[in-house]
Amino acid sequence: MLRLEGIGHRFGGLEVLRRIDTSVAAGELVGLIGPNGAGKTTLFNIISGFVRPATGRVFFEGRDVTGWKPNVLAALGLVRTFQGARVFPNLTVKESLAIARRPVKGRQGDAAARVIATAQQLFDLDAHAGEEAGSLPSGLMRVLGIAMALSTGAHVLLLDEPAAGLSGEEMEHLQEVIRQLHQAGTTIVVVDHNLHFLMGLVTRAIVLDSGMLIADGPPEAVTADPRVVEAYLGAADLADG
Amino acid sequence: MTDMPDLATASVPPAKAPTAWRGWLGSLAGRRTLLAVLGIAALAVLLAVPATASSRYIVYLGTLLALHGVLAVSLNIIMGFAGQFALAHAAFYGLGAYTSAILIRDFDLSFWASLPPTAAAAALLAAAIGYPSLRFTGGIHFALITFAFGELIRLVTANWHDLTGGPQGMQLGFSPEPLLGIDFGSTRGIYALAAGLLVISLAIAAAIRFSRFGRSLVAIREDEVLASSLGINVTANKMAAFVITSVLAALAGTIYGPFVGFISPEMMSASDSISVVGMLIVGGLGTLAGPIFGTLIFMGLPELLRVAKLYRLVILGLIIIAVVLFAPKGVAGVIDRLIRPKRGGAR
Amino acid sequence: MGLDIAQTLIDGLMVGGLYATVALGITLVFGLVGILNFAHGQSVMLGAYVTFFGVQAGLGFWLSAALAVLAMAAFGAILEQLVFRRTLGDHMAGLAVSLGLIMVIENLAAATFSPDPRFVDPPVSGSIMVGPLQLSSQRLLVLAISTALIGGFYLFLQRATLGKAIRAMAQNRQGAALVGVRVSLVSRTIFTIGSALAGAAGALYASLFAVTPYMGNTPLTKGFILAALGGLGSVPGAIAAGFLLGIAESFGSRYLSASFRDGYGFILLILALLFLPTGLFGAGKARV
Repeated sequence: MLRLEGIGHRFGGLEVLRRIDTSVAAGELVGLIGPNGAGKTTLFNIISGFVRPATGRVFFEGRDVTGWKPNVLAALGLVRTFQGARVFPNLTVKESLAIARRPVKGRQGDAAARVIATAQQLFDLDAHAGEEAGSLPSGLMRVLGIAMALSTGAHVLLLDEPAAGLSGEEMEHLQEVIRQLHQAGTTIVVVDHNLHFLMGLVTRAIVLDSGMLIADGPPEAVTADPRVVEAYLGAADLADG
Repeated sequence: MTDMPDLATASVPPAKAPTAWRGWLGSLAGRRTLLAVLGIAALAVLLAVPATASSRYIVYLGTLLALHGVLAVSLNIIMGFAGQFALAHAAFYGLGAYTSAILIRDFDLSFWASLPPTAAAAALLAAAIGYPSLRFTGGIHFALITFAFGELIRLVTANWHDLTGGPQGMQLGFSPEPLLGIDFGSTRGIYALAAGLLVISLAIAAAIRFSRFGRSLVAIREDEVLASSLGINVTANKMAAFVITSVLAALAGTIYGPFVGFISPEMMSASDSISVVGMLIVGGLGTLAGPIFGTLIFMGLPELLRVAKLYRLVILGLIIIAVVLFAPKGVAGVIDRLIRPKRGGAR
Repeated sequence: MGLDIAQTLIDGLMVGGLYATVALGITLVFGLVGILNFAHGQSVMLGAYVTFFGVQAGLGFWLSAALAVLAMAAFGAILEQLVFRRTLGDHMAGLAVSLGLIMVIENLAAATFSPDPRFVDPPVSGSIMVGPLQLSSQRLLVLAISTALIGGFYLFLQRATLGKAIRAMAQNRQGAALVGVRVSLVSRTIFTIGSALAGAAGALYASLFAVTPYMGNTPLTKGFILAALGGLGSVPGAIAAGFLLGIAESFGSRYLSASFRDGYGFILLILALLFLPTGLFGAGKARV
């Protein structure tokens, strides 16, 4: 579904990604973890077309899509979300979701629609339908950002720190939505700092440190890997999430 | 020289959306029926008074208002909906007037036959300057290039004596031929033409506003990066909006020619482009009624005040500054605030 | 032929220096404060009028030009304080406000000074022969002064404490604030310097061209073209682009057509945006 070959990138003289090789199969639910500055968001930017990698190629559904524009990739079904609460501030929740909704290309239209409905219900977005996105509480703003990405009917979703800033209850709702989405056949890659949030959710974890891929496997195995523990500067951070 | 600062790094817009400007663009929720009704009422006055009045002056003023209304309504498509400062609007207005007049003079075309090639020329030019500049996010390149283009067109028109008559302008001897049994050649006929174009422009703007295209433009205005992540082709949508905006301005220009009977490079001046931007800012960007309010205030008020033209422009400049600093949603925003139900009320 | 080319080249350099002086102010304000200041051309116009009235009052060209620079520096500081300070961080509002300022300043000037063109006697006249080349003394002087202004500004950025603060802010606004650079002070300084440069350019314009209330748009247009051509916000880019544009216009009107003199720069800009989207010096940014 998604394959990276030798992805490398630098900002100025700083090498932020070095020869990343990995792939994600259709229907997988993968966590991408690593300490701050490990290059997770840069990798997302490269996969979603916002940054052209210095070296290496990105393949999506077997096609080489390196350097393709974000909107083209989104139309093909590869959609990412952004860190923080990125919404259209002066549009209402309803308008925002309408803008994001695309005529679903190909498959899983019904399943996606069901998940969107669930998401709207769980987060009570309907009750806020007429409110401007910029005036929502910050947790809801984040949820709206994810709901917009869902509404595109994407079959590959890249979620960048979706749980940051959410309350415990909201986080559980989000896990529920992601699980349902996964069951509906969507391929999902999640970046998050909160390992508790991720570990209860994903079936596979990829660990980045200083721009290098240092571990890849089931979450339990990965968190036990001494290199991962070291990358996070001791187990305290892991427990702390 | 290599040690010189690269100031561009500081020019990257802040990640957090600037609040005043965003707010100023205003929300476009469809709930504002009352605002729409007021807009239609304003439009009705604008259209009805000259149509029934016997005074030539009223008809003249009505035509002028209608033509400027077209300019404001069309500019609103790229600037209000898509959030891009297009500063060559008067240039496209002038371009339309000159292209049509030259086609009629040199190729013996009828007024009506000159319209399609004029529209095509405007579309082509808009695409040619839109493509290089609209690929950049943030709108600064576009503002700067459209401004430079407007000045360029004016200067070339003033310098190209053989074709345009130079700074002295062109006397026009033609008037629109009768069509479908309607005499468009008279003062009142030209007024009907201008008013008709205004209604068409409003219909186009409304159709765009409530279409997928219009929603995409609004999304682009709000956040280009987020819009593109959701599958919206940002550059193509902005370009389409700019082409439509410019073609409508050029068509208004074709009517201005026979209306006044004389055209000169003056009509393309930068301050005229800025005036149209001012109409939108004062009226309320991005709303359907805003451009109409703005036109009435910008064109009507000074006519009532009857001060010298220079001071009128000074006053309008001050109004622009005051509105941007103190009433960012324009007149439409102020009216909306007055008529909006209190918090908790039905929506 | 070779002689002709050399002559055209030198003519281009002379105009280019003037353009670069205007563009420097625009790119500086945009790069540091994030405001595309359309009222910059009005500073050029007002500077030209100060020079004209100074010369008429018998102050002589040099004193009048100095007065223009000082007056425009103060003008820039006042505008920053009254208007642009309120739009910091919102570059579209800043742009809109500066459009309003054009209307206010230009038409007040027209009402006060009348639209009639005025002329300033240049401080030097005639021409000098350098080998086989005939050079207008006044244009040569303009080139010397604008080069001195650009060079002086460069030294200021490199050496003066405030210059270093400006460079720091250009690199990283938050970082500069953390190490004690007062961002608001720098912002006012930038407007003051930008407007003072425009005032100097106005004095030079007055010595070459007619002074009218509407003269501000041409230098503004050229300045915009240069700022974009050089890569928005890039100081070396704006300077290089200034000389490039002067030369392009000079050759274009000598060998192609003089009617399109003002169009050559624009065509250059469109080509540059298409093929060098980040400007001459790789600054600026592209891609959605």
